[in-house]
Amino acid sequence: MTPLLSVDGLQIDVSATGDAAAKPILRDVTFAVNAGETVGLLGASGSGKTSLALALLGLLPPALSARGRALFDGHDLIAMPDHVRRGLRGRRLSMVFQEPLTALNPRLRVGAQVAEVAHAHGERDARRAMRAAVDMLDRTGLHEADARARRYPHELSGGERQRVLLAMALLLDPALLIADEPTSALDVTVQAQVLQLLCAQQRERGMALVLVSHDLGVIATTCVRTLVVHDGRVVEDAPTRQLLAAPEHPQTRALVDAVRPRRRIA
Amino acid sequence: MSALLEIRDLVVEYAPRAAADKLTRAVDGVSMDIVRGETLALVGESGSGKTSLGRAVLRLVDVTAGTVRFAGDDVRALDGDGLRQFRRRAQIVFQDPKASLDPRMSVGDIVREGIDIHALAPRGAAELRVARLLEEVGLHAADATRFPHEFSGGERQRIAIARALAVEPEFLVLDEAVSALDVLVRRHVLDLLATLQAARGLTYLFIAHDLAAVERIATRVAVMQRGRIVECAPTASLFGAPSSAAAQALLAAIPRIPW
Amino acid sequence: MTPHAWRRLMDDRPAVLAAAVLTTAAVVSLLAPWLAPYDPTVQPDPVALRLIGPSVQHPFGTDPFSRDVFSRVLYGARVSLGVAFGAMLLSVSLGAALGALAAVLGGWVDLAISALVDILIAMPRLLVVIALVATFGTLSPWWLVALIGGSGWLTTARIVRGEFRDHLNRDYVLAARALGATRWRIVWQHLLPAVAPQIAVAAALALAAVIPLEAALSFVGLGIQPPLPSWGNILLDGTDYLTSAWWLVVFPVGAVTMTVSAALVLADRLRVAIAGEERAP
Repeated sequence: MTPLLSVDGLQIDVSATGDAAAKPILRDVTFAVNAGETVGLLGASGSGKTSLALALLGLLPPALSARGRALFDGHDLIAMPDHVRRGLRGRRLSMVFQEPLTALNPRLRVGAQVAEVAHAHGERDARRAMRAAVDMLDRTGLHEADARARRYPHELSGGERQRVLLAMALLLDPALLIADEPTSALDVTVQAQVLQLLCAQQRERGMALVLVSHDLGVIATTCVRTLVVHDGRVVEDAPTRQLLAAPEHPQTRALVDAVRPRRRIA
Repeated sequence: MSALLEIRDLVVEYAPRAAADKLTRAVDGVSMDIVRGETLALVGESGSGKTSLGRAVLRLVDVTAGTVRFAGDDVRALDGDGLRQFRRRAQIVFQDPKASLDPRMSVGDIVREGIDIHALAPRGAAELRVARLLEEVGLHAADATRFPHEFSGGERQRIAIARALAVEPEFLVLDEAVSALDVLVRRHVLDLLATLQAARGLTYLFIAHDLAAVERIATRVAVMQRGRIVECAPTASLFGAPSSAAAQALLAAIPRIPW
Repeated sequence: MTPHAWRRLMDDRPAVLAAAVLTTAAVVSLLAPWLAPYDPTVQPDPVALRLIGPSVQHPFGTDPFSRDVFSRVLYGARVSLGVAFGAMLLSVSLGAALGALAAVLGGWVDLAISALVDILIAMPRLLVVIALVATFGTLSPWWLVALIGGSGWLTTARIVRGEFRDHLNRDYVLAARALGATRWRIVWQHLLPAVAPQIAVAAALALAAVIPLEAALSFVGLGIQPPLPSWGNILLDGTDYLTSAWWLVVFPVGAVTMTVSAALVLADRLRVAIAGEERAP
């Protein structure tokens, strides 16, 4: 079976400085994600994991440049022209980020923003788009979805905003969802709900999920496989349970220790 | 064991922003003691009132009713010299490392501010103290001339801790002080806090929404819900057999890692 | 803005150029007595030297009273820029002080100052100044500084009040309060440095507003009175000859335009520097 996403020798450099000897942000990254698979990208801040996610989505800031290949749906995500990428984003390949407040337009009602995803990919009927939007919001567990859809982002709680972002990402039933620290800004109880939602949606749609996080607790409860990113390299790539039972790399061991409780929890 | 902090029937209300809104009761009649030398964790969801309680105890927000006694003194009745003394003995570290340090001040000036305010040492001696404090929190003396934006989140929290320690407090409110940090960094800062507590005999009020962080450092845990304390127990009992629904929900929210 | 930011601003070419223009204009105006080839008030030969176009002896030509326009522009700079800087300093200081008081003291002080600003800001400044001038009669330059400066504090007050209130709620100010800092210390150590860049922008904009205001007043005879030269009254003296003697218009207007543009560019570059700082210090 051909993998859904196949990354080969990905490297991310800082292109702005004239310093050719500057250390790359990410190098020699090679891994694959199969359809329906859940993969975690685990690493501390500054390890390069977010840059990896941004490179796959074509969202690297101008100061950074990416080399190598990332095959998705037969296209190379790295070398892809913009118009092809725009067609893919939202429809086959989606993303959810950490800070819902900055990802949402503060001046538009949330329902309209979700519907906008449909419009951007060809839906002409405004009512159909809005109905699909409200339906999607309801499926993400947003209470009173049609009332909430008419609210503005700042009127919603952090957890509700994240559900809106999820609705936008899942509306067109993508094959792959990349989530970068989707719950870091949330309370632990809300985090649990959002992660549960993510898992449920992933199972229901048979969607592949790449979850980027610094928290092994978050990854271990959602991802069957985990890649550990440290200092710009992938230092370990194994089933999550194996990582937990027998971490090999010292960075992995540190990350595992960080979530190991001292006492038994009820 | 003497209670360092005695809180009785504390009520904190916030005025509504619009005329139509009701008064918000962030803290609705809280009574508890904090014993000298312990680490009392205060946990709850956002909106449970824990941050308001932490700030009210330090008189950083207005208290509507109730009493707060610090080492026997009524905190609400303090003024002038008494209040200034209290401010030396009870300090706070905030949650957001990006917002709690004045970006226009050098790290040295930031840490020295408390020393200057209370005239604890003349200029030269103060700078020496700052250097020692920076080293104590795991940074370098040379960092004093640099600016906050040059440091990572974890390092900025260390600076904030150094600033709080500069006035030699007995009591520290840690208001979600590690919530905004990476798990690895969180661990290091918690270890630092534990070391400092042992070295300086500090008492902590550790406010958090995440029980996993609390587990490492707290001796007792108080669970807050909608402005009230619904459970208060030694850490082991709370984690082993939580009685309140709120505590159970918080424990259930901890990611169940398949060890 | 951090010291890093101020240093970066010094690399910004338009900002440096604008600042250089303003500084040069200020220096030149101070050195007018030494730089001007002729006395600006003396009328050497009322007939022969009347209204000569720009020449080697008179680079800016002569006016209807056969006075050297170049010298008058230089001396006029002293007066025009002097009044402008004076008025700008007065309005910015007054505005900053009132805005700070409103924000820090709150309560009825805030209500009173805000109400005052809201009422006064609706009045067109030029008309207010004209009305004041008409009431108090012909003015010395000092009076003019007071009236123009005293009427321009409103926007600065609003800006400072808004910024102070924003920063007063921030964690680092709360931290200062927790350390035991007095309100005074918080204002001087934390709030004013935070607001300084915005005040600088307000100052540059105030300058850009005041220079043409004084020129306009002097042009209609309500500002600087002859024979004391100002950029506005050089034009006034040549009213009957404006279409034929272009040098009477071009040079003073050019001087006003150049300084106002420099002030506006500086204000703009400062704004950009402030915004850049917020995104990535």
